[in-house]
Amino acid sequence: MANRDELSLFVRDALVAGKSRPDITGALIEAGWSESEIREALGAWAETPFTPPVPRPVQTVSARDFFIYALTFGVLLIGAINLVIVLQVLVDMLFEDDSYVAIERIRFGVSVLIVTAPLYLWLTLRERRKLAHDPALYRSAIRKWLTYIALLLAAATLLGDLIATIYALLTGDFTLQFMAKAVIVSLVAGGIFLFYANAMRQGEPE
Amino acid sequence: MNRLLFIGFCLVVAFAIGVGLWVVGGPEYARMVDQDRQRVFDLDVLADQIACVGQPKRVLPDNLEELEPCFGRPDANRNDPVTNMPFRYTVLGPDAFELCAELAIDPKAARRTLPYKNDLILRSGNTVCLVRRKAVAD
Repeated sequence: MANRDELSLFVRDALVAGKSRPDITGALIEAGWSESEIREALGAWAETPFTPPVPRPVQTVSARDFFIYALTFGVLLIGAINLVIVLQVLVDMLFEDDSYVAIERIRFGVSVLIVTAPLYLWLTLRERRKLAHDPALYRSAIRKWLTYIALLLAAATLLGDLIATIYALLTGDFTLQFMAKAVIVSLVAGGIFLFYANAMRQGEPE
Repeated sequence: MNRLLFIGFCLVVAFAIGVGLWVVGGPEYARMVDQDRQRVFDLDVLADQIACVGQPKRVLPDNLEELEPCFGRPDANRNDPVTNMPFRYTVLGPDAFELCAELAIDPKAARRTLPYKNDLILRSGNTVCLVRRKAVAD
């Protein structure tokens, strides 16, 4: 059984031989390839009369991308969690008789933010400049994957926050204090979701 | 849109760091908070040794120098852990006594970080006290 490399090679050879795309599609369907496989294989080559066939750009994977994006998203994750913790403990202190534990949590959270916030800011601005300078970097598969993982985590957090709010409402625990803490979670998770959803749209081909 | 979100996030983080630092205070304040906590912990351990639950025939000592070990309890620190001055001990009656310590931070402000804060009695200045009753034999 032929693999996808052979399919790609066949499509290239057929285009070089001057076969039309409908003819190539017909031959491949007859051989048992699915429409999506054929579409993907033909889509790898630009629709232009130029010969030899011109390849479309493909996604790239590099160790450098992994390092930069894993660091950026790791810092974002840790920073966002601690931002929520600090803000929620501050809300608790407004409503409750605060304790030594609350002070310790703020102290640790602020320490994390002092390290992660400038690092995230620097990494993100640096990457934005690089992307503006060389749009080919938008084709980084690692960037895409990690961005979608960040979107998934942000969406899951928003859903969890909504579920917790409804549950608190039903159990009668929905106080002003709870509402303020739920709003903090939704603002942080929602902001991250919107930020990266917009970033992905900017990187998509027209 | 993203620029606004980014600026908004920076402002929220700056707010969290600023307010957080303002609430917890600086390193010197943190050291004083820990010293005051240690003072109150020491007061409590010392009060337990003086009250010595389980030995109702034991009488309250007249002063801390005369305090004898209490079986099953650690020997308490009788002096302030920082200044090394003895804690203030006052016998209030045959079965009641008071132990006091001088805190570094105004106790009204420090109450949020102190242990046993509901048992502490605020005196003038930075002084806090623990009052205990001792079970006595009939």
